[in-house]
Amino acid sequence: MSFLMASKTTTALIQSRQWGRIEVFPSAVAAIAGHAATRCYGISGMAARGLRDGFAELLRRENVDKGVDVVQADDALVIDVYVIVQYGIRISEVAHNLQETVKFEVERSVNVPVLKVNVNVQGVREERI
Amino acid sequence: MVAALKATGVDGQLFKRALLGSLSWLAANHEEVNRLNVFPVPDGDTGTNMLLTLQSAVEDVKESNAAEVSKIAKLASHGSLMGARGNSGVILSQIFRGFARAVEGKGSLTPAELAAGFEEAANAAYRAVNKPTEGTILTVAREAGRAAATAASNPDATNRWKSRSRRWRLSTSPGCRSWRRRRWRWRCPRVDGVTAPSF
Repeated sequence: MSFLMASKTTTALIQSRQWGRIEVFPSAVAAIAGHAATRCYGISGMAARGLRDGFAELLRRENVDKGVDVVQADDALVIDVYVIVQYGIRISEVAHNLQETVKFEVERSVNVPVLKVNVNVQGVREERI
Repeated sequence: MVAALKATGVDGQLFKRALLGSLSWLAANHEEVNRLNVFPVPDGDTGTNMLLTLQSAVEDVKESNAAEVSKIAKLASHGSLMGARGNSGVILSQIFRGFARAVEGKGSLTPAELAAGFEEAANAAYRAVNKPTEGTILTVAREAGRAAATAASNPDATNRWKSRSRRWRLSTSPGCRSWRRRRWRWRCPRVDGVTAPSF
């Protein structure tokens, strides 16, 4: 399968319709995925891609899309999410739930198949009491 | 069970029996829970996931003869954490974890302590999520804790589950049709005036 590495901000998902075309930019898809991910159980929040000084940084609500990478591969999407999880949960299961949720939400909102959701756990956070 | 609770409090073995009982209730009703599953992904596996998680929790508890409720709760917490399946399973494991933490070091529980344990269990479950979605198992856990607290402070009010407002709150579950139209479908026996929630 040839992966078409779309540069993040320019190439949009384009669907032609009777009255014109619909373009959805990767940043919009990233925001959808980011909001779906933050609502997932056991997820503390999104982290910025790549570690800054070795520390994972929790992203604020308005830029959760910074913690998501969207790459278009043929007619499908490959999504990378960078998250920080809660302490004391089964990370493998939470990550699996996250994959399902992100895939479902993105497919429902933009109607484009999601090929992969790669979860990167950047950190673990003790719950706030 | 209520009579036993009044006499001795909840010790390890009574809590173990309660867990075994809830496992068989869930085994009988998990299809119904599956049908309620619409959030976050409507794939209809919530009941099955919960059942598998609870099975894993009970697996650890079954062997133990500990008389302290804290030991049984800890075993259930560990078992459910290791066997957590799906979203509901992960949440269930957090509920057990919160309960185990609340009853830590206690041999047996008074009704008030049991209710406090349920409330702390719900709080722990809420803490593990950034944006809690109401109308899910989280709401059920919280309302169960509140109902237990009410029942503990007022022993005549054990039937508060049937109160209209609570039923309304539970029926705002994303998958629930209007409670007026829902029939009483949980095939749960009545235990000394305590009835299962209908949602």
